[in-house]
This record gives sequence, C-alpha cells and structure tokens, in this order.
Amino acid sequence: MSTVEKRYAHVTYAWDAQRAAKMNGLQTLIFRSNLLGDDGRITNTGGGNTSSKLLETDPLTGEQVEVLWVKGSGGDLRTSTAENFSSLYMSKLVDLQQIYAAAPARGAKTPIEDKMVSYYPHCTFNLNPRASSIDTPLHAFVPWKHVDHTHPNSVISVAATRRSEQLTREIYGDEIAWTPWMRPGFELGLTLQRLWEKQPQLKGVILGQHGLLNGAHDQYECYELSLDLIDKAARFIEARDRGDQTFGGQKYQSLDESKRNAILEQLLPWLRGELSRQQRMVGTLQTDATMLRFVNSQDAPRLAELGTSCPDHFLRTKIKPMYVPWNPQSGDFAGLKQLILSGLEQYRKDYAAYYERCKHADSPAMRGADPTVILIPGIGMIAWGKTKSESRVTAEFYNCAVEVMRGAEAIDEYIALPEQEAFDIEYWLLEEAKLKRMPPEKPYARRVVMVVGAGSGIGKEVAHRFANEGAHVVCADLDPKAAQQTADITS
Amino acid sequence: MRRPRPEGSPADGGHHLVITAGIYVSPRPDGTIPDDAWGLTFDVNVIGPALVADEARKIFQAQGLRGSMVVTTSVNGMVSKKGSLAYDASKAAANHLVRELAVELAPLVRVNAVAPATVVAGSSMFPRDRVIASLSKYNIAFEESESTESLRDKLARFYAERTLTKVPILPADQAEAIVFLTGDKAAKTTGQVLAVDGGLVEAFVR
Repeated sequence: MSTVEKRYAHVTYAWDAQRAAKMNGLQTLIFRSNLLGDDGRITNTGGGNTSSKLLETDPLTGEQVEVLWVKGSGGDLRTSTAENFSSLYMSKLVDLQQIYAAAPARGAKTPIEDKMVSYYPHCTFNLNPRASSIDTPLHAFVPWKHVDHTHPNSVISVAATRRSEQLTREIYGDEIAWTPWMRPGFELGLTLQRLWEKQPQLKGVILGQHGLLNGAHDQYECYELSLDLIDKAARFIEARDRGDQTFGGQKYQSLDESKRNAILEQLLPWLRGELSRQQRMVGTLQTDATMLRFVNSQDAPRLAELGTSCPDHFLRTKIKPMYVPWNPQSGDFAGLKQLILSGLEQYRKDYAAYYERCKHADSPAMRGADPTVILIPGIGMIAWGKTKSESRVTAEFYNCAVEVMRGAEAIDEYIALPEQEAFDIEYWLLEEAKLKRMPPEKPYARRVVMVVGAGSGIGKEVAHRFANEGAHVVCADLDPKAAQQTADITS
Repeated sequence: MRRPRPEGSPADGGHHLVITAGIYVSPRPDGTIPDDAWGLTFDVNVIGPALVADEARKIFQAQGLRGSMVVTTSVNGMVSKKGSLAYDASKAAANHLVRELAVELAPLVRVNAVAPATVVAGSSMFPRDRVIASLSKYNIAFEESESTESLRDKLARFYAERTLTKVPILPADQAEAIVFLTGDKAAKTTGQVLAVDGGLVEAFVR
C-alpha cells in the first residue's frame, strides 16, 4: 500500500493511510466509498457503487465464508454508512448463474434477467435488510476483491463518443476494456466475467454511455486506480479543450443581472403555473457562467435535442431538456412566453410520441410529459422537481450532462443513447416498482408557503408545522436574524 | 410603510401566504394612546397585510394555481371592551379586510383569518410591561422579581379561567387552525374568521 500522497489535476485525493490502518475491511470499504462520493467529478449524487469481497464467519456453521459487501439500493456514496451496504454470500451469487443459464430465453432486458433480482434476497448474509442494487452482478462476477463503479463526467465523455472504443484504447492502452451500452443487470455481470476470463490483466472497463468500473485486490489500490483512470480521461479532454470554440462558440450573450432578474420575476411564477397543471413543481434556477456558456452556445439547440447519456442522469432530467429558441439580445418578454408555450406544446407531443413508439405490452402508464430542465439563452437553466432538493439534484445531473457533452465534443463527436434504450430505463418495471414502494407524499408536499412573522411566536410555530407537513417554507420577519433562526431549526 | 419587493429570490412566494406578524402598542399608564401609536398599529395590523396580499395577488394570478392566505387577527376585533382601543379597532379592520380579500381574490385564492385570544406563552404580543399592566388591572398578585415566564404563566391561567375550556392557549393551537385553513382540507372555506380563544361567549358570532 502506497503512503505517498499523489497529486491529481482533476479529482480530489483524500486517502488517509493512518485512519485506514485502524479500520477493518467493511470500515475501509465505507471510508473508500465516502471519499469517492465526496467529489462530484468522481460520481454524481446517488450514482455509482462500491464493493469488497470479505471473509466473514457464517452465523450457522461458524465457517469462514466469502461475502460480497456491495453498496445497496438507494442512498449516496458520500454519506453511506454500514446500513447502506448489502451483504451476500459469494457462493450463492455464483450459483445463481445456473438458474439464469437454464432459462430458455436470456440476455439483457429479458424477463429472466429481471427475475434474477428476486433471488438476491435469498443470497443475503446475516439477515442484512438492505435491498441489493441492480448492479450487484457487476461486482460479484469480476475477479477483483474490491471494485469501484462510478459515473465520472470525464469518463462518460469518453464513453459517449462515436469513436468511444478507439478512444478508450488510445487513452488507456490494453489495461482497460470497453463494452457497448447494455442495461445493467445479470447479463452485463456475465459480460464482464467473460471479459476478464479472456483478458485477466484487465484493471477496468469503460461501460459505453454509462460509466467506469475498475478493481484491485487491495482497497487503497482500488481507490487509487479509480482516481488514476478518471484523472487520465480528464487530462486527455483538457489537452483537447476547445477554449472559446467550446460548443461551437457563443451565439448569444448573457443578460446583465438586473435585466435577467426583472424577466425572471415575471416569468417564474407563470412558468411554475404552466408546469404544475397536473402536479405542483418546485424549481431550481442556475444562472452561472458555466451553464450559460452552454445555453448561449451555437451547438446548444443541437446538443440539447440529442439528449443525455448515463441512465442516472436522464431518469431525472428526462432524455432531453427543453431549449427555448429565444434571442436574449433582440427578443422581448411576450416573445419569450410565446416561445415557451409553443415549446411546451411541442415537447409534450414529442414525449407522448416517444412513449407510443417505444412502449411494450407491459410498460407502466406514461408519466408526466413535461420537461424537467428548461434552457433559456441569456438567462440560464431551470430544473424542476417535486421538492427543492429533488430539483437541485436534477440541476446537478444536467450540469453533469453539459460537462459530459463538453468533453465528448472536445475529443470527438457526442452521441446519446438510442431512444428505445432510454425508454427501457425510464419505464423499466423494476424502476416502476421502486417508485411504487415510496411512501405517500405529505399533505403539504410540493407546496411553497410564505410565513410573514416567522421569527417568533405563532409564526415560528406555524413555520415548523408546515415544514413537518412537507411544505417548502419561506420565513419572513422584520428581524431577518430571527427569520433565519426559524429557518435553521429542523425538527 | 413600503411594499414588499421580491428581491433575490423571484421564485419565492408560492402557493400559500400566512401572515402572523402583528403589533400591540401598549397604551400609556393612564389608558390614553399616543397619536403615532395609532398609525403604527394600523400600519402593521391592517395596511401591511393589505400590501403583502396585493403583491402576492400578482404571483397567484401569474401562476394560475389555487392558493390561500391566512391572516392572524384577534378576538379583540369582535369583543367590545376598554383598554386597547387602537389594537382592537385595527383587528376589527383586519377581519373585514380578510372578508373583502376573500371576495377580491376568488375563485383562485381563499382568504381566511385565525383570531387568537390571549396566547401569552412565547409571544412578542405579551412583552413584560404589557403582562405587568394586565396583572395589575386584574388585581393578580405578583413580585417585580418574578421571571417574565412566571408572570406570563399567571396571566395565562387567569385568562383560561374566563374561557369555556379553561386551559391556557398555546401557539400550537393557533398553528393547528392556520395549517387547516391554509390547506386543501379547507378547500370550500373562505372569508371566515376562526376564533381559537378557548371559548369566549362574547366572541360568538351572531
């Protein structure tokens, strides 16, 4: 294990060898996971998973058995604790391959593949209640003791290009393999197993239009390898950065703050109303230079229309955002509203048509047809969700999408997922089951309540009551400090 | 008095507006009210809610989604007594403001009021000097050395005895009524003043 601190240009190195030395295997796995999840360039919120194959004592036989500790369904690597990890008997997981092999029809997206998920609970070690991730076979069936699967923007940039396979070889040589897009599950796990059987020297693989997976027999080496691979892709991109020709150069200029805010003051309530016809939505606004460099660019309409890569991203952002073809330099507010209205009408038509084209006999009913990301030149991006924090995550994911496109267009040509593949993730029956398992929404969910007088007395009491009932509460008071105090208390 | 400006967060101010801000300006010891106290009392208790409602109306109308407003008034706007002329008159005005706003903002926005009485606990409406003035008025024994909390507690229990339910009224009681009137469970209620006063016969509406 190396104790030399390394310096990376594009990821944060945070390993603490002294702390790790005092940890057991599971603790080290958690530590490694928290570090990886802490850097948005390594993986997105809730994205990716980690694992370690550790020897544990079987509670019934007292024997040493190999157990796969793997990040479970739900939760985020950055904040994961032991409770977030599933534990499964490796031998039972491997035995599942016989069930799969016996099925008359197998492969990605077959019924047997989804059925395999129902067997994971039977492989659980020590009554661990944490539900297993769909990605469990990706960890189980590769020979490395420790495996990191991440969604790094820089690597997804490589993974989302037309010449992705050649670029992978160019950047990484033959240490890193490449597989085309495949919906994650049992078949992808077996695909990786076969890859490693053919090329035992492999350290990792780029999953086309998805992310990175790599492993080692030592926890620290696995962590270091992840950082190495991600940083390498980022440096390759940086060396080919197109500077002011990024995204084809700027088509529009950002509006100055006061003009922008004057428009937003009028626009946002109206827009929220337009998007809240079926269910109320809450928005996150972004007007920073990085996002505007994309939104104002020549290529923005083309790239926005192409859609996103990485399944995690588009589950939130939908396959494509809505780009509003408004000229901030010459257009007026009435024109902007008109373009948004016609854009929404077209988007809803396009979405319904996509659903109709791609649906299967057993697909869940169509969910909302509204965009969750809206791009307005000169102004910025607005992301929508059922809560403030959900809309922030959607915003984060579209930021990732923009960064992925930037990298891909710098080194080659960006490509998005084929729409049937995107549909098969968005309307995956397992995804639908996950949504149905969620608890019902609270009475004031999706609502915004402003309390004038929230700093004390009845106002403070009522602000907390609304918050407990799921509302987003805006605390206003003559005494701004008191209002802030009320806002800061979470019960 | 200035109109509220939605600065910095133009997307704020969403679906429901609750106003609990109010002011009680203590009369002079002889019971008279300084001229400027009248203006301040009406500014905060009546004109403030009116201006905030007017700004909120623009957002409500732009959104086109059903919303609601609840204003905290007071049973003092209904019960006739002596000792707090300006405050009581302002609360009567606030009650009628709520009724008329309910008409003006219909059908999109419902407007109601909650009328507390004697919420002494944790209230900025009952600063120490007002509590002492009231204890004196009612001939309730106290020591100057007592904590404000202890004085408030004495007053709250005195008030409770005068109600039908006989229990001190808490901010949580007001919050419960406000949350009810704000939400969808009160979807068919507008223009109403709901008294949360422990049960005061003088405040019963005819």
